[in-house]
Amino acid sequence: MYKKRNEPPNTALQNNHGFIAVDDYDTRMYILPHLVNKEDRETIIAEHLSAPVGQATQPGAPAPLQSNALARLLDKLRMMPQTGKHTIIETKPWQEYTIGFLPGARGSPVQLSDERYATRAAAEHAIFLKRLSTLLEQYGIEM
Amino acid sequence: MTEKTLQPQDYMLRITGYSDKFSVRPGDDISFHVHSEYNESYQADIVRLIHGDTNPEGPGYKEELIHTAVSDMYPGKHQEMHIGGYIMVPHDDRFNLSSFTMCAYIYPTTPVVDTEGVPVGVQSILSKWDAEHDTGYGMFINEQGELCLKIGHGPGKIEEFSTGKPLFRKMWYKVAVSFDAASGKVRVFQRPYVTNTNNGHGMSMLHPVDDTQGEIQGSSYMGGPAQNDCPFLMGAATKKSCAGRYLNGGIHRELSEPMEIPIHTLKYNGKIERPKLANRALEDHEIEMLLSCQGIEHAPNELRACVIGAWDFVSNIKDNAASQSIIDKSLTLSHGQCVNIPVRAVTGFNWSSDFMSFTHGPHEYGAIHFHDESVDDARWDQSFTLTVPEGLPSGVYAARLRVNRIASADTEDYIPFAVRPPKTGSKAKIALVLPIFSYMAYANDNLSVNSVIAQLLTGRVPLLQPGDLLLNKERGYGLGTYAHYRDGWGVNTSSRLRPIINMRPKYIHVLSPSLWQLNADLHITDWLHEMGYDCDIHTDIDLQDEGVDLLKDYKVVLTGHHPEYPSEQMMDYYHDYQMQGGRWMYLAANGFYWVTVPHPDSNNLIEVRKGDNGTRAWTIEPGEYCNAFDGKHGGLWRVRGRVMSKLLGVTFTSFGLTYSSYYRRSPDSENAQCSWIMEGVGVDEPIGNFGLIGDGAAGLELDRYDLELGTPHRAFLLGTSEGHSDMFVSVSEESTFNARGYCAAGTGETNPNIRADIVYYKTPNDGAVFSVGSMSWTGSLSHNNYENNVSQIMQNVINGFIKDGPLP
Repeated sequence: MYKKRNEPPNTALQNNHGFIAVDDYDTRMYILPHLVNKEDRETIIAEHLSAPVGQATQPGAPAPLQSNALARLLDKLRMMPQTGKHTIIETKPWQEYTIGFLPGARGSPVQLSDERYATRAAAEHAIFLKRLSTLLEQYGIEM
Repeated sequence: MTEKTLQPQDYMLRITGYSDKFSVRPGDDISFHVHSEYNESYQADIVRLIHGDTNPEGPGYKEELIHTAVSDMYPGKHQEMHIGGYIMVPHDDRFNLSSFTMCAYIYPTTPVVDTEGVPVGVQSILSKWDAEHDTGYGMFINEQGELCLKIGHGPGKIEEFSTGKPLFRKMWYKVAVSFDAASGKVRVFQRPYVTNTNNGHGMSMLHPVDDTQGEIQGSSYMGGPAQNDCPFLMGAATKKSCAGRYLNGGIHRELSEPMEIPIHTLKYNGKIERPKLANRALEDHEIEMLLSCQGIEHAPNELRACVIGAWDFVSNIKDNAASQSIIDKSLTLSHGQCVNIPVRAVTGFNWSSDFMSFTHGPHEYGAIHFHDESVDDARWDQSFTLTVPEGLPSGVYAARLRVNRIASADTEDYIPFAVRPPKTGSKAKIALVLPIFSYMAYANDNLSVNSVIAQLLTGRVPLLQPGDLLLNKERGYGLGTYAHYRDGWGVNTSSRLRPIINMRPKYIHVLSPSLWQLNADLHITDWLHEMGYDCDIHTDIDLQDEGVDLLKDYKVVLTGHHPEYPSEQMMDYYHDYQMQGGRWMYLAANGFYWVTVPHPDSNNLIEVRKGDNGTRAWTIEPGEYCNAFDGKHGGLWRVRGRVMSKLLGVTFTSFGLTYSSYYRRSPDSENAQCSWIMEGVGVDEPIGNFGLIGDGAAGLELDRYDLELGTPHRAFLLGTSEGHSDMFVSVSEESTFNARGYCAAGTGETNPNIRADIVYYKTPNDGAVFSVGSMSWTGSLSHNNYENNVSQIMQNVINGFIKDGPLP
């Protein structure tokens, strides 16, 4: 019986180096500069806290648009791979929420944390902070 | 923080089910099939669903308990799903072979791992294999992705002979395994078969070929395979010969008697073509000869005599490829049946691209694609039956299930159904046609968990409810047309005969800040109820069956908040209704968009092929545009010359699955023919700057008028929404170039086509069409205790439409 593994060639191309390299460039050039400085970071965090899940347009006012810095950061964080990604679970309808972790592989349960939040918006902001902290950690920036 | 660490099952739904029908009339029977996760007993009751939105900012959840004979406690039963497509040829002793050859063309799509990198494990291509007792024989892909032959001699005694070379994903191969009992000689080979076109998006430059071409000759000294009573399966192997479940009726109508199916395992992802089984070890040239023909038509007589299975996947392709029967051209006539709807009408090993439809060149569409998550029918045991009481008003109802009578999110589920008026008719002048095909298309999309783009589409982290947790734990409830199978192929069929977790009252949908589909359609039933309108409920499946006659007695017809997936017949019938003087209210956006085909023998199964064009969850593979169920081109109705604006006056223009906006009145709303619609609404008053779906009446998906796309020339523009954020994007079918500043591809703040238009026009014989072009319109109806300008406009339109005589 054959038990050897049949790995594809170990090339930069097979390892999707092109995407990873440009993604890293984009992060360093366009996202991190708004996060390195604590004051800038806190401005972005405050902006997220003011409307964590978006808001409707009011007559006579412009549509509520996020700042470019926050929008780019959010898009980056939302694009992270599914495995282990944070999600929100409704534990008591309209009253209580917790944060969970996606399994990645299909057919595996969603894992739940012990954290509790009174609103979806609060859970959303908590996840934003966790994701932000993980991203900064990857680039050696202390939150 | 709590004292107890939460476990995945703590908030998971513990009960669910489905019904045999979705719509019934008084006197009809409807049966329910219930799964109880922990075998717990449950209370079942019939309730009328009035309003499914639990949002405390709205009128709240409303249901009415109906006293029927169903109300009782029932013993709960855990009912497994047996998912994954395969072909079954019933057990036949002639298949208990000592010497044999199996050969075919195959196109594996997960030879080692799935698209998420998760190992798929051993996959059976052709086998008479008992996986529990290790008996029989089979052609498999092993865990290393290599073609192999397994010979089972009994528990723990398995011989495996593999080529030692990995099969590549998306590549056609000629494969064969053989065993000669007299000499003990074994042969296994895999040979890539590459043309410029046949691999679809797979490689056409394979170099060096030895990376994946392999052959082994070996010897077995343990005698031939042990006999078993398993069926011969393609695309799976047998775990247990008899599951106690049967193919019977519906899409298996061609069977003359019920056929018991096995519990299957070792499921394969990929295509198989021209599978053959012979009762001796064949020489290379004999294998070549067999693989050169669909059946055995090229085989000389001596060779014909030893072929005991030659399944020809082309022979019953006619105007469609909907048959689930698999024809055996060998002398044994061992015909088979498809189980769990493996995909027919897919390109074969010889696809040249000369034919883009399987009906034009069926010989190039001789493959069947198997997916290990497909489902045609849960086939669960029936749990209880309701005989719909005479006199029960037409409405949306549900069997409410409560584990141990506990009303909580994880112990309670609803199986919805529609009660139609009696056949003798009713006094109602209004009909709401629920878009069941659309509910099916979105079934169990599970985008929150499986789709990385979900958070970008919605601009937030998805919310999971107890049903979503069950869906993830099970994986086996089958998917809908928004999902991909594990091999990356889009899910092109959807069945109603299994739990559809997101077709429920109280459900919050991932694609909306709140509601979508059935639960959002309950906003309409609630409003009609509160306003005192007498309305009959029908479904689009009823329309499919009964034609425009179903609608002829109604002055007004409504089609729900998102009727996106109509069949050709439904398109015709709605058009006929409009031509015959019907008055039609389209309270939706992105309706009548995808070509949707019910199986010719069952309206419980639909097919959708998402083509090159359109705002879509996936793109069909090269050459596979045509639906197996009717042979016609799939994709957008727009591509078939039936853009929705011909039927609605408005066409899909944008979506932003987030917060909404509002409308402004347009000058036509003051026209003498239209002003009655805006009675009670100030000229400068914003319309719908409130609501339960994203806080506004213009949202989720948006439609606009377009004279170039069939909007009737005398249509009026009553209102236009403004102020959609940059989360609202242009639809891809109109974004022919993505260029910065090119507004056709822009977002809400840059593209003036990103708006919802309220359009009104008259049709022949005093008919009319009123369209709102937004999916969140219905969420605004109940605002301020139903006193608001969206509700006012709706009352004006309905009151005007139900009057006899010409419109103003």
